[in-house]
Amino acid sequence: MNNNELITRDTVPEAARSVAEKAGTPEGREMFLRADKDAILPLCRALHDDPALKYNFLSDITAVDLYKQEPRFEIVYRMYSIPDGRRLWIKTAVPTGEEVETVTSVWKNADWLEREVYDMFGARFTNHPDLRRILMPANWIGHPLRKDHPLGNEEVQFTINKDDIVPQTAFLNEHFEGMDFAEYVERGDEINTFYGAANMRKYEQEGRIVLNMGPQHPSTHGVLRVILALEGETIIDADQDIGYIHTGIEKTAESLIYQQALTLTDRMDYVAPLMNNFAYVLPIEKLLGVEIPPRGQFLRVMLNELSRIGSHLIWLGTHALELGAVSIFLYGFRDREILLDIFELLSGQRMMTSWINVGGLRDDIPEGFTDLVRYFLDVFPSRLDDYHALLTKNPIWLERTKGIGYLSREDALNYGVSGPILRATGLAWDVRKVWPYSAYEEFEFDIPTGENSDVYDRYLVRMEEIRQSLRIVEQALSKLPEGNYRIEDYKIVLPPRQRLDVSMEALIHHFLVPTHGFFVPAGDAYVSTESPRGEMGFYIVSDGGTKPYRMRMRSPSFSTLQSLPLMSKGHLVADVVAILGSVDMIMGEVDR
Amino acid sequence: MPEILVFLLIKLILVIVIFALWMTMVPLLIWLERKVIADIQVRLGPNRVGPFGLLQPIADAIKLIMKEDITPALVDKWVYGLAPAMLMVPAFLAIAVIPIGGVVTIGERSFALQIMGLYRGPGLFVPELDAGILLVLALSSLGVYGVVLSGWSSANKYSLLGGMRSSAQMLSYELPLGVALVGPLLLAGTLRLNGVVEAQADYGIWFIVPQLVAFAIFLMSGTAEINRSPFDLPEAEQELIGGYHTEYSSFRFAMFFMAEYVNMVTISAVAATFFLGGYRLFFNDIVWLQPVWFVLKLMAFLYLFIWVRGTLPRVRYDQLMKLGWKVFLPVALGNLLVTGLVIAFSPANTILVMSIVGALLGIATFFGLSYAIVYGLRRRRPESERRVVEPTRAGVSE
Repeated sequence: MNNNELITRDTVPEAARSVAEKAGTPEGREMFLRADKDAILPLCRALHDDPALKYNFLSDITAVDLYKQEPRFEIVYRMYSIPDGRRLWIKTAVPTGEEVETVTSVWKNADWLEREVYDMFGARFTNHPDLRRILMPANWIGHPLRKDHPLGNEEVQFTINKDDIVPQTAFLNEHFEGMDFAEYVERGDEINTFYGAANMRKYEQEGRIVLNMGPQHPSTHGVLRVILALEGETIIDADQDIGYIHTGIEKTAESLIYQQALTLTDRMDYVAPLMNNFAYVLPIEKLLGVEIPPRGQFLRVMLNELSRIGSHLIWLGTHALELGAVSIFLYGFRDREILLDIFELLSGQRMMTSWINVGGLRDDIPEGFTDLVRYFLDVFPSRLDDYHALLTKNPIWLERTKGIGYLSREDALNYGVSGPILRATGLAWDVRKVWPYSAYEEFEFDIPTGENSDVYDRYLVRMEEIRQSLRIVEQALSKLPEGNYRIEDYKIVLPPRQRLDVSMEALIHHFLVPTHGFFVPAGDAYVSTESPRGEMGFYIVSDGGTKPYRMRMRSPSFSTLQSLPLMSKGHLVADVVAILGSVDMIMGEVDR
Repeated sequence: MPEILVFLLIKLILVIVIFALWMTMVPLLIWLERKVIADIQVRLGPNRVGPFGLLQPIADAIKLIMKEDITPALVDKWVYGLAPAMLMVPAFLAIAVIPIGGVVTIGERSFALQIMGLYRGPGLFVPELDAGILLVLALSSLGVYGVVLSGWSSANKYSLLGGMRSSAQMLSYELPLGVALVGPLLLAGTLRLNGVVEAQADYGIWFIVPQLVAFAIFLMSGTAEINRSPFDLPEAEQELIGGYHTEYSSFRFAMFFMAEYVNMVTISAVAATFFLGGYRLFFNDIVWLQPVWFVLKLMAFLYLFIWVRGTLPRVRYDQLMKLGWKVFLPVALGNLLVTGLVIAFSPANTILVMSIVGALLGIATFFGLSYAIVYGLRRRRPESERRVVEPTRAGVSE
């Protein structure tokens, strides 16, 4: 089955077959459709249910605000057929004030994705089960990613100006059926407890213990809030509330030139910042149509895999810490320290390196870099064996992780779960293999998979991934080609320093590139990459200028987190901690 | 001076000395724990206050006392205030029956180095407390009230869960702990701790050999009883954020902290007394040196506790209960049965037979249980116990 035959199939509804616009690769592995907004739900259902098409994985739903045009919003659906590897994009135009039918009945992870679109753009979804704000606070006025929403700071609320800032009555009317402000103040705690998790209120009314885990809790990796309804210590229901460290990166990026926005991506998945840089520059380079020299590509892959090891080490440390094995935590950090030394040697920064730039790398590797990487490759494997010795057959560890947090493959796909958790279900799905980007097709590595899809299998998968990453780093180091580490188009990258003395043009570029930036041809692009947490990618929309018109990150943890209630029901409070550890979410990337 | 005053004076001195020994053990233990754990975790540990950071516990104590003592608004004030004391007082009282040395003779008076110990003087004879070990067990059961009430009175869901966990845990582990001690008691033929020590010296073998199984059960149950890692569920930092003492601060928190360490020393002392020959070496040595041997054996156990904490993950609450009731208790009872049979059928050379049987039994139990846990789990779990939870399960009514 190939995508080009898609619209001729009987299962696809009439409305969708007469699509306005269609484009794709000749072999039909990737396709783009523009559909009418009323056809979205039947089209999606047909794409999902038809056994020959089987678009079982919803990667992302996002929107673009075409301000001053009508229809104003363009909603973008991106879906995959796994494990076939076909990709499909559907775009639909939504005029202001009109609604689109929700696709939550087709893919479960559409729930949060549509809530995010509503929160950020105000585009509403008909029949959505729970259309509330998700990232912004409940009393936020307006929808931030609209182009007419000002980019500004939040005014601090005092007694003297509280009425000016938050129109309390409007807020109360909207959310609390016109409750009196005095009553709202009186019952504030109770109300705020449940705004983020409205469906947990019934358990409190039934008289059960509703346990609020987070946002300040040592096991939630930052500021996730999990609300648990308990029967004894057994979990009967769970819900999450996110958005506590939403920093509006996607909004901020729209006012920065491409190189400046790069530094924001470091702050998203702050455990593996180089991977964000990498994922961010790929679609821009695709729009620019530039080809990175092999040396640059190899170095990118190497840095990427070192980041993956670093990220997995933090996962291992915190996961073990949460199950009470405190020592592993410090061992993990000890080894990550070498990686941070490597990044520091490279860039002078330990975390926010911003080293992978549009057009290549910021600079070539310094002297001593390969020695340090070699040192890491020498000492680390035996330490990894130590961690296996401490945990893998430890009876307590087995008791705590075996059979905990089971997630079936169908559920995993339906919830948009990718990365190690999907691989732990036995599906060898890795973007590096399926749609190789950069130079990944030139490396030899295996994709570890699990069998039981529990916390223990996720642990084994990640441990093995560390080993595979070591293999890739080893190969990249030994096969590192000579040549330039970046492109030689000095309208995009900075010209070499020594040319400034001899070339007027170089001097001009040296001013223009960092201040004004480079022009990116109009269009949009998305490239999937494999982050330690799953499929990560940036969707870049360019209007031909030097700043991204829209930057959107497909966050793997955002989708994965939605399956947490499913994984934790029926388990104990202590198991939620184990499951959270196995999800390995980074809240900076979830909230962005 | 009337004899009774001499008796009281000597007892007072003993109380002060032994209490001081315990009270110096606590800061020392805190320092040791931090240093050993730091060493395991490739860190330096405290090294700023005093040489090798030795004064760190004192700095900690000063900090804790100087901190504001916060009483949250919704707590049950009386119970909240009382709970730390209810945990600490039994912990300290249990010291009274632990012998740190043998019987000392000065002139015409002789007395045991034990607070509730033997005293013999002209015209006054006070025997050792007969209940001995029972007092320790009884007092350690009382400690659970402090934990439960602090968890309950804190008006905090996490504390409540911690209190609930600990009540269940401590009650369950009383049983195997007590039953495990019956084996050595049968061999010694007395409840008096001094008697247990002397019996081991008389037999010429420490009870760790004939009662290897009891020793293992006692050590693990003891770890659970005093809420140490890997059984530190009531406080489970990463799940319950401190559990029952989440809401406590300042000196009240320090009392919880202290009680935990005092309990740890006491359990180690009981273990040393029952299984490692207490204050005695194999030969007759100087009585005044016996406290030194005792403290050394004590330290060995303390080190073990710290070592375990630095190595193992934490078990889960239901697994802990399962372990206590389904594994430890039957094994302890089995050990008791074997000990009884050996004593009944081989009265002549009980200890020789028991040593051989006990050691073999211990080794067999160890391998049997390890095999059962590691392989039993790995085979069985994935098929039968894997939970595929539907929303309708576990009592969720839609």
